[in-house]
Amino acid sequence: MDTIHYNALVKEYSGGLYKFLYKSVRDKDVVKDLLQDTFIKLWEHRDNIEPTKIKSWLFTTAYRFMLKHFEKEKRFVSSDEPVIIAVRPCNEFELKEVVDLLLQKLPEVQRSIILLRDMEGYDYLEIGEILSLNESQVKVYLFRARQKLRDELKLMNISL
Amino acid sequence: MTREISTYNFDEWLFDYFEGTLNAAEKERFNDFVAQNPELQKELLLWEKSQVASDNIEVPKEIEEELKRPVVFWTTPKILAAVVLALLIFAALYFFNAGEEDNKILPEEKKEVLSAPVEQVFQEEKKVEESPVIIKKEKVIHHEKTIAPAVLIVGVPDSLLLEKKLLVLRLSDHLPQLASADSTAQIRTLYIPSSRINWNELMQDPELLQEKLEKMENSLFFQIVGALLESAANNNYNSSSGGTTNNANSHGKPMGRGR
Repeated sequence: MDTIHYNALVKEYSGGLYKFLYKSVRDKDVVKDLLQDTFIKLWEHRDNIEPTKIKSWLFTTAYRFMLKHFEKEKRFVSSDEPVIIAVRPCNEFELKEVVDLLLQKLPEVQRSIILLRDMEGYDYLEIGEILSLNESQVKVYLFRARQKLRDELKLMNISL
Repeated sequence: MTREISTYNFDEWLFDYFEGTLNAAEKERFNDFVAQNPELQKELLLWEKSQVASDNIEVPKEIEEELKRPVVFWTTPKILAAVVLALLIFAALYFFNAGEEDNKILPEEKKEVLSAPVEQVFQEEKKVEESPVIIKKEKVIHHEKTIAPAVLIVGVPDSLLLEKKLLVLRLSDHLPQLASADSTAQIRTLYIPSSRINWNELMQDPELLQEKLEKMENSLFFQIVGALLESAANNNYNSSSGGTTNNANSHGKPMGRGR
């Protein structure tokens, strides 16, 4: 992989990775750092990555950096603090925002599965490779995540 | 075996429905079941709304640019090869020209060499006065290099110029002395027709030179006349000496001792 190829990969995948990280972290500065760490690692390991696996390698690496970030955060911030959403969405746009916020209430692995599935269109096998899970685990986690989101929306008594 | 659908497992059906894993028959049964149970319509809508939308979040351009690495043009193999080749050619030309530069002398240095004291010349000559060839070793001052070549300037009578081979053989007897005198020096031997040498400029005191030359019993044909450069002898002499190219005649007695 030369510099030109690397820059092409940045152009192709930085957007998807940014969304994936931002929907989980919701802090642009942190997302920027995680993204930089991910691509620095890509450059450092450029000769050892199978070309067909680059995308999943990027998401795996970004996910791991994100987990490290959350572990660091937990040292300083109380993890018991609940996510309180005091908004009652009245249109589609607000509903999207609420769903994004509700994602924060999910465990990291469930949230990542939903994001990879809904935004990147990965199948269970690919998600399993990225998150080091088998297909059955992915399906079960995804099912639970959807149920939780649905239940949260139901509790908000939104009008549809 | 057909799969049952009920309010108890409706979430599983919902999940499969939105995942697109139901076959046509299952999809029909699912739709029928929702139609028969209108209270499940809201469940269906909520499940649909809980899908995370792929919205318009874009990576900021400046972040994308920061992630990129500067493209250095020589990272492309073909360009790298071309650059290496160009550098090799440049290096070869540089050293070739440097060699040419060694054969040149700055005007000031030339003047200094030409005006070298005659005494110094003949002190050297005394050491080899028994020899048929008198050798003067002179370091050429170079304006940059520290290792200067030793230059042998041999004045050869025009009539004997063709017998260069013989001359080389005689000179070779003295080359080891030069080599031992300065092991780092390169030895250049320049054969210059006597008629091309400007003796007036070379020796400031012609009478003293004449006197010394008389003592040179064995130097019948050749003289070491000092350090000159080949280019000066070949190119510049005629023009710079102003028509004094044959000073043997102007002195009345040939300096080349070609009797």
